[in-house]
Amino acid sequence: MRMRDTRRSGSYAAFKIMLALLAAALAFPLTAFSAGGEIRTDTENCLICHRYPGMGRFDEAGVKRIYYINEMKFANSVHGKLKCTNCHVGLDKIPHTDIRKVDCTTQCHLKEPSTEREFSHTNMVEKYNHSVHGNSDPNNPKPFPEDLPTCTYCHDNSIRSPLEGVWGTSQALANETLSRCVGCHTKDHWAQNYYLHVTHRMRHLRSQAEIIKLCTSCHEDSEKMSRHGLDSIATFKDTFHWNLVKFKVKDAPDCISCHVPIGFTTHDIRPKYDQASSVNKRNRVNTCSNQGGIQSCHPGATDDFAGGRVHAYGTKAQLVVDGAQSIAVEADESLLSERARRDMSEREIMNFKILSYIRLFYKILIPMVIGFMVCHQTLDLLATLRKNRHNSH
Amino acid sequence: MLLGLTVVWTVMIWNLTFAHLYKGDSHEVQTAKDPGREQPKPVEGKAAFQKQILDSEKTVKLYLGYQVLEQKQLLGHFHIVDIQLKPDTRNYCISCHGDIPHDKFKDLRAFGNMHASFIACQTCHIRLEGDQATHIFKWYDRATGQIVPSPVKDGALPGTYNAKIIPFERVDGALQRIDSQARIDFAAEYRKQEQSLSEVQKSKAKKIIHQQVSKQPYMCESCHVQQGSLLPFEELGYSKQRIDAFVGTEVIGMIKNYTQFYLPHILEPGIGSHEPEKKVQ
Repeated sequence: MRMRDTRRSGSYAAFKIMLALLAAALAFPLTAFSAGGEIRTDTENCLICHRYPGMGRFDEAGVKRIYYINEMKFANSVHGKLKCTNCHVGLDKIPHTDIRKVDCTTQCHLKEPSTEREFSHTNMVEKYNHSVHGNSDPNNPKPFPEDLPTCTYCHDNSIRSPLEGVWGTSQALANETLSRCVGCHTKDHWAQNYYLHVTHRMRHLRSQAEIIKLCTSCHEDSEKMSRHGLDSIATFKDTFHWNLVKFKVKDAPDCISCHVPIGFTTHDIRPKYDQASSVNKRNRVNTCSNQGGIQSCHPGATDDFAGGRVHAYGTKAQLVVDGAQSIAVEADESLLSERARRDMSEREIMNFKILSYIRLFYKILIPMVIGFMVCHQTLDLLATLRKNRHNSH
Repeated sequence: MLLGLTVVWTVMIWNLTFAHLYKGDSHEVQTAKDPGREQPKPVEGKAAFQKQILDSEKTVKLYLGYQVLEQKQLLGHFHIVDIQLKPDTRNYCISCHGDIPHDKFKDLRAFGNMHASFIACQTCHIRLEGDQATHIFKWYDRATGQIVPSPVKDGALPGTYNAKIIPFERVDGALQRIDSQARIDFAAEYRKQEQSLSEVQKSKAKKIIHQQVSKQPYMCESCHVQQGSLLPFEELGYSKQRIDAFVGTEVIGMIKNYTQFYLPHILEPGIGSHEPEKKVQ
């Protein structure tokens, strides 16, 4: 009897939990969207026009320009606390004839709490300018600057996404954590914003496949890469790392895993011959082991292990092998040829040749084996048929 | 015979297995040899269509913690747009002119397109006069095309309603919506047969389709005016507060700014220029 009661009370409790979970699930999208606090009032009244989805046009080059702002999405975005004119500086005329391109180094009148100075992305932009993707060195201007990515090529105004983990749903975790914060930090709105700001940074915003998609949107373009003396990303897509990503293996390494490990920043990716690069030979052991990171991929990495080739051989190796003589004598050699000669050591060329021969060997062997097998089976079948026919007569 | 079969099978197996790899490698090296010295070539033809039309929009994923949202984004556009409007299936103008049709006047085109998301083209571009004029305007659903009750009455936020305003005309004494089924069918038939029509037939068909279109469309002040607005805002379901906003100083002041400094001769062809900056000078 008691057992049945216990079971009944247990199922009743489970029912209550289910109801609570259902209610939480239904309520959560709303609470999550308001988790950043109240929707900020549009103090400059920009939304009088910009809240209409049709607000836009095609420019002279046929590019679609949309001036619509989704109020809810913007309020919950990482820039949701800012006024429009904090970034769109100087928009004080209607029509907006005085429009200027948004400059991410603009000071946006928010106090950066660690320095008490007005916030801007200047330090990030400076790092970026000196990175492999930047173009700031007047003494050494990069060719084809139009190929280099701008801020908005990689970044959009992402929606703040709270942390979710083993402790429960985002909202439950937020409630638990914030209940410990608001005792001292009495402004709920401030505490929620701060919480979201921090937790937004605690998770990857893009999946491995999306990061690779973003990087490959440039690095897969072999012509564009050639102009900058680089192999195309096809060299990555011939690796074990890529296969892990392709088959959606959890924690599979993407571009960021190796090129921006612990201690490095995405805005300061350097070329591999730069000692500040994570893939420079002197840093590779740390990069492969990723000591101090959540995921330590190859904790026992040695110099020999880390010194191995990660990307497959590509155009550079082929160029050196195909035209070693002609490249050497060409006065106006392309950047790719120049880099190919610089980057490909004799040992690597030898490795590439051996690999090429092995590949060729298998390219011939496998069709031959399969071909002979099929021929053998066919002839065997014909012989059997003929034998049967002969026996029946 | 054995040798022949072997060769045939080998070629077939090669084509099925490794041929594409070999072709891929050689192609890559070939293309990579030259471009290092060359300027980027403009993309043309099919590739240009793919890049400029199909690839200009991307799908982004937003990881909101409790769910993953997939949204259509414009390539290189910073803000999350997430336009929820359904396509207008009734409007036959957009099948040729597109749903962002205004591009002639630099400072007005974005506003024109903004209004086109909730006002049917005919509302401004056809001037019903005399017996035809009814001063009746109703809302129709973008997805079904059916006349629907006012969405603004239900408290929908501006810009979020999936409906458009369409004028009604009087034909032989009877009231009918201006985008009649007959007109829709005529335009659709023209689109279908366009390739096979002679130039004269095309011109004739276009004339008929655009027969009602006025050379002088209704402009901002036709509706955004204190007295005698073209659109009967109250009948369309707008609250008094919203109507006050439409005809308030803020909107009317802004319109004056446009018409006074930027579009003084918009309705007088041959006078002035389409470049507002020059006009101001």
